[in-house]
Amino acid sequence: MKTLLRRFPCPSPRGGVRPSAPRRIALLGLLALATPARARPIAAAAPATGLILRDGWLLHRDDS
Amino acid sequence: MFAESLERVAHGARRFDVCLIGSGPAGITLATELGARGWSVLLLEAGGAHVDPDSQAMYEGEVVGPLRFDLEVGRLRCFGGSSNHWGGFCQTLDAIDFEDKVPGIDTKWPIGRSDLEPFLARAESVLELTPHQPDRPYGEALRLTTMRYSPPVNFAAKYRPVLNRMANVTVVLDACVVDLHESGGVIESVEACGPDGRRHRLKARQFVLCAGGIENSRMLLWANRTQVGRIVKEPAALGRYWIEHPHFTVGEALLEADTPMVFDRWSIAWSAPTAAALRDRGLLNAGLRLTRRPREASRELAVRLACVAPELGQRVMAGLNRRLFCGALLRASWEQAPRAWNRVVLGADPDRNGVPRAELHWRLDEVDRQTVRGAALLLAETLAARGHGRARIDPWVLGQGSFPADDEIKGNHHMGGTRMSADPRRGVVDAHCKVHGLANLHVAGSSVFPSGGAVNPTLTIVQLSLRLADHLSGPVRFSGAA
Repeated sequence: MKTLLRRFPCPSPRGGVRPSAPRRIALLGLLALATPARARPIAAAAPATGLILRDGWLLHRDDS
Repeated sequence: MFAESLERVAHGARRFDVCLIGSGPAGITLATELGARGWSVLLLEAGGAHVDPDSQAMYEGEVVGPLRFDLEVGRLRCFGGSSNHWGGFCQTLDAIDFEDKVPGIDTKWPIGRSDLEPFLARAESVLELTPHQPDRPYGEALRLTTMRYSPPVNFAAKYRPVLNRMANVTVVLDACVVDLHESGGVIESVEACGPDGRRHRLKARQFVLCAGGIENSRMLLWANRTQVGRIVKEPAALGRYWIEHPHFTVGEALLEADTPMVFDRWSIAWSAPTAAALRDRGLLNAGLRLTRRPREASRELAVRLACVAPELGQRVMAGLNRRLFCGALLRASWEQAPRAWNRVVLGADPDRNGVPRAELHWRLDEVDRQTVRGAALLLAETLAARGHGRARIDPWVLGQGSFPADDEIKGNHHMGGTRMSADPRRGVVDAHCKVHGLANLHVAGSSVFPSGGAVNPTLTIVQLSLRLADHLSGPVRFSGAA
């Protein structure tokens, strides 16, 4: 009966727990101190028309 | 009163104001509402007070189609119904969910969202929901949504003492309705089978089927056969347009830490296309959820990105070490296109009461693939265009291969089969959930949904049940009772 009684959290939750907001801010602060130059974001905003599908990844045309 | 024996109630030959068939969220909501207004209520539950394997086996049936699941697992045949194992996820349907969205796909309801809104506050109270938070726009085509959570309310635990205190409410367990008896356009009585196999007739002024998204169809199909078409006189839609919310993993994403997405208590960030995007792109509704991956899985995803974009992949890998990026699983559940061929029919194998078991014909088609592909691409485009990340979409979503049979597949959201329509040829019940052509038979629950949107159905089920309670008792009586 375990199968029947188990909850059906629809959708099933997966994945870890995100740190709380204050903890995230603290972590990012520490990281900023440890790394002089913050990593660039993945890419600057670009028009959707400049996107291509490559092996399932939706990329900017100039992603290399 | 909880609980009376079937034999004793039948021997009393009493005519109740209303007989409710099924004690899930719909049946119990109606029982408490109508009971509070002084109605004499008979609430029949086919199962017992608790889950029992023998009772549960009565739900066994066959799914015909490429994607299989067990009909006896995603629902419970006991007092409280499937609320005994639900997850508590709730949202209201969007306004566009009541409209047609894609040419040739009939998703229109005969009512609108505004018809359900007056019942939202009471439904929130019944389900003890977390507060509503408005959607936030994300780019041109997406919105960041939030899920509302019930604790979850177990209707059996919460409402058994309430019903027990109501002297005018009679709950009967182990009373399986096996036939409906009609005379002159009115249901006179139902025939219920007790645990000893003996059959009893029970009379009421009004009857409401609340037996769930498969049993409501099965019961009407069977009664229509025994009563030679006198129950659903236009049976073209009966059992048909059955829908689920397909649930599949559709890809993965690497997210920059500063995305505006908020991960909730289940570590899920929710999003969905806007109504304008659905119209522009010709899509049915869809819900997208990103769930954070652990660091090792995120690293593997960055390696896969590096295979197609080495510089970008390496930059992300370096960022993962500094928690500037995270990986996420991308999953979707969406609005299935209502199709006549997806249907509940009576199978060849009878249950122990002699009623044919349900046979569910169910498959997804290219409209479903178009819906999930369109929604997943909208998220991938928005992430890339706004510099918030990159997403990889699984090949089957993009058209290579069929729907994966080893995924979650469905949400245990059984909808349709007795759909609501103003036209008896297109639906089984009217806008007030009354079976066309009968004066006193109504249907409650998600089986009346003409289309299902992309949100969990329980909140809408309770809203519709509250609306039906008001309709049955009339606005004047309701105002007085309130």
